[in-house]
Amino acid sequence: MRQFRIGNYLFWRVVSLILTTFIASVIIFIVMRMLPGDIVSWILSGGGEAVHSTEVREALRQELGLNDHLVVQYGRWLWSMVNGEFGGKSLVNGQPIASIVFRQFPVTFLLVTYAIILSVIVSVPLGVLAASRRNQWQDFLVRLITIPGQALPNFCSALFILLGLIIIFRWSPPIVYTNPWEDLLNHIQIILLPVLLLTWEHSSHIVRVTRAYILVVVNENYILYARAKGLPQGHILLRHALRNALVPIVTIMGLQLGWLLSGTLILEAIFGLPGLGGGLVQAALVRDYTVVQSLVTLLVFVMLSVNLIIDLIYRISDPRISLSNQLTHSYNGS
Amino acid sequence: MFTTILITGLILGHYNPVLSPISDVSEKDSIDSERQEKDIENFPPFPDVQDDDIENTSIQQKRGGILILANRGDPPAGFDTMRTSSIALHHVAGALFGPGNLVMRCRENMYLVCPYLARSWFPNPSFSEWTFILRNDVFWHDDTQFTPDDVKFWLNLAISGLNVGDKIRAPAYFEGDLEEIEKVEVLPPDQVRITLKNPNRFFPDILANPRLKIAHPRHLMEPRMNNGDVSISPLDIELIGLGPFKFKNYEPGTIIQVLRFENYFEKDDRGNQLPYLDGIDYVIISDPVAMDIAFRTGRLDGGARGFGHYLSEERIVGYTRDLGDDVSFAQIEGGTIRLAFNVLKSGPWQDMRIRRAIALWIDKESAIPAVLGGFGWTTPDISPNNLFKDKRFVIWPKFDLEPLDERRAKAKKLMEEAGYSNGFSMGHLCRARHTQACQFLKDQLLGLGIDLQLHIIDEGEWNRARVSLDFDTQPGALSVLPIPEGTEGVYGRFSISPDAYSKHEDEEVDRFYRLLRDATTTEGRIDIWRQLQKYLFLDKTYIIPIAEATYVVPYRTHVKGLTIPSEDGHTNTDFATVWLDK
Amino acid sequence: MIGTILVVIGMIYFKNSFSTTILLQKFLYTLRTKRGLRQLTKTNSLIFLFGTIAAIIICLAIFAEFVSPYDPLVQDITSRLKAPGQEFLFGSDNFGRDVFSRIIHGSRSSLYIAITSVIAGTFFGTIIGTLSAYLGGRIDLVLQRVIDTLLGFPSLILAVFLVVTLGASANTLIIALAVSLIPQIARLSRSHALSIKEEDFVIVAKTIGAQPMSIIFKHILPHTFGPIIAYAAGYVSVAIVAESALSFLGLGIPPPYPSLGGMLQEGRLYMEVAPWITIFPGIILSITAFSFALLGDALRDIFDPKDRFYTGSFFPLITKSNRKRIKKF
Repeated sequence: MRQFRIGNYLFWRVVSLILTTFIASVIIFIVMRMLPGDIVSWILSGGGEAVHSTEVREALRQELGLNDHLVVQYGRWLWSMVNGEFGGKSLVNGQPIASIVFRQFPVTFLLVTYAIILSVIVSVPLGVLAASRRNQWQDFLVRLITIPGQALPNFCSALFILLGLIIIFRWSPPIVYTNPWEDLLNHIQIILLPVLLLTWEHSSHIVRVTRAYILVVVNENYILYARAKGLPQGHILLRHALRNALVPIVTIMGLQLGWLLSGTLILEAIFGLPGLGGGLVQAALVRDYTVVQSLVTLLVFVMLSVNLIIDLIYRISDPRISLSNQLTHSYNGS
Repeated sequence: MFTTILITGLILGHYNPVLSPISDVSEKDSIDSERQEKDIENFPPFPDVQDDDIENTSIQQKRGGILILANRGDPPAGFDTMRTSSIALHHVAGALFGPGNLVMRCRENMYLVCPYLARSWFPNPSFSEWTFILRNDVFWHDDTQFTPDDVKFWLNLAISGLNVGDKIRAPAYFEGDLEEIEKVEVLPPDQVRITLKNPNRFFPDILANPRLKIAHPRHLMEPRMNNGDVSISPLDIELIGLGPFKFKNYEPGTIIQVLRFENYFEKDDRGNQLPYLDGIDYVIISDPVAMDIAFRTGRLDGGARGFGHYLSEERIVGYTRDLGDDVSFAQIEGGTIRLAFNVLKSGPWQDMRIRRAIALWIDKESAIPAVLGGFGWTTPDISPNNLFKDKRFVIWPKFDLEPLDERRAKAKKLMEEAGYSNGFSMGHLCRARHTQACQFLKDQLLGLGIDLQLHIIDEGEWNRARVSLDFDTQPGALSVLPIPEGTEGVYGRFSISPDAYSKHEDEEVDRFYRLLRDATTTEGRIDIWRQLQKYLFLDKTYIIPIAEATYVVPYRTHVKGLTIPSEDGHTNTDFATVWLDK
Repeated sequence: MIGTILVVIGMIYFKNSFSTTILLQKFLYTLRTKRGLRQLTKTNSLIFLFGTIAAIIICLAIFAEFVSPYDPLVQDITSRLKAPGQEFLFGSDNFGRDVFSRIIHGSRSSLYIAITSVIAGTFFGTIIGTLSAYLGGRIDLVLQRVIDTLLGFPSLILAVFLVVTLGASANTLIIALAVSLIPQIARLSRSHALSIKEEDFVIVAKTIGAQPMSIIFKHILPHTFGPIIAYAAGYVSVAIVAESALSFLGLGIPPPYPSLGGMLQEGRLYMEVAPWITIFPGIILSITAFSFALLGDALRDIFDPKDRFYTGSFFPLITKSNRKRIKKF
């Protein structure tokens, strides 16, 4: 019975996911077309330096298909998203967007994945530690690390760390990005700093939440019962407290994904990583319509999918939560 | 090889009045040597200047090695030199497509025209037909021979674009420069004859613009274009070109790699084939500070070109501290920052006295440290070594001679005369990339009571905004134009060229350009150009030139054989003569 | 300008509502009673310290004109890049402008943008969320989908997008940051409103025949407001950081007006000869973000003690009653 309800729920959520992405893409398309600025002039004048005539400009507009009706342009773009071309070609570079995405996506994906994995590895034990040694020196130490992690702007720390590295060690990260399967050492050198910074920020949230949940959970009745039974402290912590705290923790991690992506945006710019964030900002600044449309739609789709999966896990694993389409109570962390 | 070029140049100079020796200018400089010394004083002292040792033939150049340079960004428009003049492209395009087309700017003196793909050329007596004799040892990177048909294809594509069915390919953005060309004929086996609409003595000068690079091989592009693929770009055909290096690899956002082309035609004067380098890696670094960091920790051999990446006094401190003698700095004269007025829009600046007052008030000297990074000088328009540069412009016709206080007192008086002693509000189009200059101007004009309202526009809107009549003033583009004939597009009347910096409909300016075209001698050209400058910048003050930047590019000292042009960073980016001493 | 309008609207709302009394009561309890104060200072001494710092920063920002020794915009190229000293407290920048004055004015604009956007976001978010919960049915579903769409945008990317569309100005930044906050507040207030809706007093009110609007304002909102204020207070520090990040990327307040992120970006070019242009704004930015984060924690403790556990405050209030229970663990 429950399986059927899960399936039903899943179906409607997927439908709404697709619908939402579609609506988002239309909104983005309209917004981008409303922007002031003329990308054709930008291409022709090489960034504002050369002079050129109106006829040339008009001819290029025609050539790039910018004179067709808006609906036609949108239709063309939508079709190419679906059939794998991902929106056609960049208006500025002439590169196929599919290749842009395939090139940039791994960078951002790796960065985010490393950060998430490291955060989980680091923060859950730290949270448990802080909870179990509450108000003792371990707790204070953890607080000392995590409070700045949450509050300090990550680009600020990045700047100062880079500066320190140059002045003290005369070392800078490599300038050419390589994927790990191409040159592992180079990859580690270039991605280490941004990953550490992201982890610091992200795990601070999680440590906080873990600590708090465990403190809540240990006051529940079944813990008292377990202790009354005579089970050892560690066993209680791991098997009972942590397991029950895990689901909200995972939920929070999913919700944090948005913050994480925002963080990668700036760090990619500072460290010169060729990822989706930096590419998006660059494209938006030069009004590269097609690239922005495709990238933002892709990001929206990914975000919503991840949220969907996490929501599903949450509901399946906790039978107390109803499977109706309404969220009764969400554990919104900050 | 270079001595041969020089000799050829001199021979042709005998035939072609353009190529007169530079001694022409130096004679006239005897008038006020004191002022000339002050000029040289104004030019900032420099830690280290690299002389190119091309003529030093006693050194044995080493072959091999990969040169690692920074590039300001991804080359836009699929590396198509007909679509964009961005330095991000041309820094790389020099190696792939060569420093020129039929002709090029000479490496030792960029104001002279040297042979490149054509080994010689001659006009007809009325200068309306130019015949170019091509070399027969030039090959494309796929080892196909270069023929005169390639030239004809390229020129026609640039001037008139292409129509196939209902698909249109736009002509090149520089088709205005080549507008004079009426017809291109091929005279087998190795000659091309170009017929002009009007006679032009200085046609090779126009062709020698380094932005005109042949990146469109006929044997690869023509069949595909005729099949309907009119928007094909050089990137689609693997960047096959004629330059010293051929394409190896391009990872967008990261790196562009090129390798030596073994069949390149240029040789050094000992008969060794160029280039010396095995290859070049252009690393894409769009953040100037990141470039500094990479260079100072030894990851780069040379810096990027492009305004924003050129060094300032403050950044050089870090370089010399970390690298000491291992770094040298190349200087190239660059673009000018200015204030140009839109006199077609109603406002107080339509009164010439007000424009004059503003020109007198601005403390141009202080723009150099504040806006140009400490490298530059106050000049009307052109750089010091340029043939057309009048070093005595400061004496004639009295451009900023008096000290600042006196000028400012005069400015105040002019404002009063015009009836605006309380000042007024004036708009200014400001480019997001160059807000330093706008901030500087805004503060300067406060003294006169003028409230300069900055409209900060990013790149996408810049090109539409600067050709419109909506803005009271604008800074104009940062481009460098070494020959006066090329400036009509930026100083001319608005109805002829909407891209003009100052929007005006003054027919006197037309008259000057007509005179320029009809000039028969170099002295004549120089004289007319000076009068035009006086008219534009002094009598009418349509434009206030504030200061000209000197672009500084760092190179490690083990990089030898660099050709550094005296102005225009787009020139000589082929690196064919470069070798590594390590 | 948007800020003043919002504050006025807020004041009008507050005046009419029941929730004011509850909020004020809670707040005044902490300040007025000895017990309240003791709790505040004893366990949250660190919060107290940073809260004071935050308050100082706010005062400096409000009275920026009187406090800053120089006009932040006036250039004096003869005294450019001077080290910190007698003439310039934090040194001078490339144009000879005083860094200290620019920091004060920059903080003011950062705070203005952050606080206004939080107020706007909370205001609209609460309305949307509560209405959605109360009205239910199709409206609820539609609004929920819209909220989900917006939640799918990583906030900085959304902000970049809006700034590029509408141009970079203070109002645009406020809108961008508020739009990021609205879906979160909406979801939060909706979930709280849903649970309150089932409470007895609401059902009773409906049976009596009270107007929907008055039910919402008098019964539902006062109880949801606590957690919302707690969440919003924590968001101020996030907004401050987001605004500096946007300025750093070049999408914030346009020059020559000072902004902390913008100064960080400009200063990077002069690191070798004038590191003070980057260091001081960076320090002040960090301290400000820090103080407001902890201040948000303190406000949460006051307004929503229950939420403290769920959202993981580091300084939960330890009262006499629960101390024994907790210690055992």
